[in-house]
Amino acid sequence: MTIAAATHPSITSVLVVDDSAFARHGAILCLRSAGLANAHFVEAGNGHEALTALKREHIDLVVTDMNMPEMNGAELLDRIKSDERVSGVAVLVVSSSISTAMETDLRSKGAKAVARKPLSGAATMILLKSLVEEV
Amino acid sequence: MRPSTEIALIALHELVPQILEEMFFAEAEAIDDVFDWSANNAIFSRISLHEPLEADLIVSVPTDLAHEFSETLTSDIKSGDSQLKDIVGELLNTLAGRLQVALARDDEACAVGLPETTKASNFILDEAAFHQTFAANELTLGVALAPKRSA
Repeated sequence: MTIAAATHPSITSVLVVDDSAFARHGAILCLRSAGLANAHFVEAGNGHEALTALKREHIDLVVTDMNMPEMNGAELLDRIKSDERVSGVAVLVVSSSISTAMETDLRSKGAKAVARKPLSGAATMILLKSLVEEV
Repeated sequence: MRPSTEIALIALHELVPQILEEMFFAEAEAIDDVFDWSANNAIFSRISLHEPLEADLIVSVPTDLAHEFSETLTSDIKSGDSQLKDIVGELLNTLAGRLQVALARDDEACAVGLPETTKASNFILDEAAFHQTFAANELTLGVALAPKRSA
């Protein structure tokens, strides 16, 4: 399936958080195809690095894995939403082990969307495009 | 009631090919061949499954196959051991999470640990492990479910 790369002007900077460099690379490719072809991508290997990046530069969208050492995605979401300087940033949580109960919990804590790992396939692309349009 | 290891192994028959296709565009299937767990030049990763299934999930990917997986995203660079270990660890992490979701009821939590990945020779698979060989891109990889190491 070929998906044309469009651009979305309101999202200029995306922070991708995952302890796997391979997963970060895959997520960035997928997000570029979903409408963020011209966005600036910042990478972080865990929640602590992500918070440092959020303080350092302007970010429009955080895409974070759940299962990470040091600080996982749920803790990162809590820290972002409780810090008024960055609480407005949209957060997409990505995980292979997201149950219905966990998705409900993450959304109640402020996650804009929850996606299943790996970020690939038509269903994921539709979700990402929809998210990109909403932010 | 916790799901049994036998049911988990049946779920893996479907999940492993599905995830290899989604992550690496690889065509894969469960096969009857015996996988050589003690072979050299393979990358092993082990992850602890907490809920709903309590076990350890292990994968062994020969480096040749790991290189093929790597090339699906980074065809211009020959990956080193650290990149290959990252890829195999991510494969196992994804497989572990998806297995737990497949085995869980709607209201049940799913939890997995973090993968421990090494490049090792003479790996010895736990005697009590259930294991399955998969063919992918005309090579093979092994997947096993073993009793928790900490148990």
